[in-house]
Amino acid sequence: MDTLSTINRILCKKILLISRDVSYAYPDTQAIDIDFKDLARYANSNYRGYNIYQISISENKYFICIENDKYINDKITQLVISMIELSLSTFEPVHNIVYKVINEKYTKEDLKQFREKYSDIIKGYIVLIKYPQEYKNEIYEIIINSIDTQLILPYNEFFLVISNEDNIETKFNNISKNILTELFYETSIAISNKINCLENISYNYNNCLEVFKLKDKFKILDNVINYDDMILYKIVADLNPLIKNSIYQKIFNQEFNNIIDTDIEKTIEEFFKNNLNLTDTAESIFIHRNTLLYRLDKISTVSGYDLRKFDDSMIFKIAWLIRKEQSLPVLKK
Amino acid sequence: MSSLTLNSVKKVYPGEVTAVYNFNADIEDKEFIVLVGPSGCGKTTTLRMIAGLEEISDGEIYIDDKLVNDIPPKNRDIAMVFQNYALYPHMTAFENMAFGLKLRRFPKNEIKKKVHDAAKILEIENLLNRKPKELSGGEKQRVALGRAIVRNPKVFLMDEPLSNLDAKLRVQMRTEIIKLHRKLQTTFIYVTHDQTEAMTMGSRIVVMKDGHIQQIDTPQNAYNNPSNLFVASFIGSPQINVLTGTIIKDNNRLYFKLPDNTLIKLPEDKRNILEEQNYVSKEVYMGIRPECLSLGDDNVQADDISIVEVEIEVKELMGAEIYTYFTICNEQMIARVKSSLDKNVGEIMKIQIKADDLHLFDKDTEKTIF
Repeated sequence: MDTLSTINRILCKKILLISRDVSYAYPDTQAIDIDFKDLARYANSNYRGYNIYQISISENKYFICIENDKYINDKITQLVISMIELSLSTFEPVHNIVYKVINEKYTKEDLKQFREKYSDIIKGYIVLIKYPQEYKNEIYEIIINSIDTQLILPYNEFFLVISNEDNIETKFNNISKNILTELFYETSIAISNKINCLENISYNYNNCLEVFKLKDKFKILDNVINYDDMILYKIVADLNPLIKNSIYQKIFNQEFNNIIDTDIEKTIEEFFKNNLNLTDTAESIFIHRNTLLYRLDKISTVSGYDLRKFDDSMIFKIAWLIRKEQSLPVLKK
Repeated sequence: MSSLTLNSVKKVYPGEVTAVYNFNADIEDKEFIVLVGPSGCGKTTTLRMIAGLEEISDGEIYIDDKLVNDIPPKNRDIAMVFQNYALYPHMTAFENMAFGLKLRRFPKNEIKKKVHDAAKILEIENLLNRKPKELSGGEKQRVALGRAIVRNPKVFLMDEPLSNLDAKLRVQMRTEIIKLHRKLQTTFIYVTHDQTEAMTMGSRIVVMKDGHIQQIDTPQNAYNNPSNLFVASFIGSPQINVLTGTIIKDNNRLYFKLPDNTLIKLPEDKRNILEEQNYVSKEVYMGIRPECLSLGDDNVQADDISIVEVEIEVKELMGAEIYTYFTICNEQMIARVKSSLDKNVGEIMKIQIKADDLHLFDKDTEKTIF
């Protein structure tokens, strides 16, 4: 917000503007280490080296924090507060716009108006990161320190992130690992396609939500999932139950159920994950290539489908997903 | 004090898939325990249950005599190090190590002290101002370890922390972690699929297969006295040689008879075991370590030595020794012999087998007979 930098120039003091969903600071955006919950308690007093003032604009509560040793509320302070109030009443923060887009509060004409204004911000991948309320601040810190973002805002139980970085999946895998290491919390992250205008946010946001649904349905253990990798899952989820049953019965006969154990299951999973590459699969599950060939032969003999052949592997993968969706049958140990 | 007890711990996933059966272990303070086994054996699941990332289906886990089943992971006073470290790219090594403490709102002075102490232990004090891109693979790994060390946890949990490193660096980091354990004097629980890592690092190892503990022992004892054929085969590189044959009695002496009628003398002092447990005339597995197959000497006539003639199929010079490959009764065998071996591929080599070096396993249960 430009107003904050103006105030900072006049007062020569650090200034923060914090609402429930978004925070601004000048001069250092990373300096916000005050929790929204604490602010209501310390409104009109000095807290952690800041004077806290509360204002309300269009039913939204904001806290203005001005760096100071002791609490004061003089005419200059009132002037500063008025400047911010005026600025907020005329300024539509980008996060508000994004909220409204997701909730389909704008007409197409409205969106066209914003398109140019926010073209730089609304460019990148849409990513949803699940967070529990208790770790909201920590996860926010981990995200902003791990990746460059165009926008990051909390929405429902997620952080909605727009990032235009390359290798987006690797970077969010690192974020997931850091959240696990620092907080012992296993988050779920859904990555949708790259967008370049406001109108696409809602569609891609919904795709991310669908990723979470499919993750639950197919019991996918990966913490970071790209929507593009879920298309087959979506097709299987939408298949007619009769067709599902017929494909399932065709492959998972009694003979197959007799040979399947954790080794075979892991082999199938990793063979698919490694794009049917024998060397990579053998390496990823730490077995000799010949052991892998032996297992694949065994699967082929009992199911009639050779996973090394594209057509066979495609049908088998569909059946495998049906099996995961239905959690059937019980694995033999 | 940071002991750890796992009492009949079990993990069953939805669909009645059991990943870990009845895991019992008493891990003492300052021990370096390695969970080792092939993929899918339940070692990572066990570690995750200790961390609290995986709910326990049955059993109890105690850290320092305190039941932690229902204690959330963040309150268990543990630190985890994973396979792929993910350092914060825009932070220095110092800031990377300090970040977790900053999140927990530790005072600045305390953070500084903890980071410097950890850096000293890891010998990376001179790297604290560098960003990840200015660090080598090994240095990054040390910073990742530093992030765990600054927390001063009761227990370190490490899940294949070296798997993504190249072979040379892995060997180097192995030593670093052993040294680190000595310096920190804390309990380490380390998961790996690599038996060499397990053997070189662990004060005790837990060998697992299909969710079951196969053996908990010192590396040396697991190697010398494996509890079953799986442990014997999994521990040791190159792998133990295994042959199938029958125990027979001839002239009041017990032999292991191969399908081609070759006789291998069995140790006299184990005779009672075989007779009392009715193994005579039964089929069993015989295991012998590659280093126990030495070059045969015609002059040796010892009562406990058998000489077998084999044709060398492959020779691999390893420096101080040669790995020689040959076949006995359709089984591929390997012997580690002195590099002075003057025989070539295709030639006949005499190898001697000492009765005391033999391991016998039950054919049905695969459990060790001796």
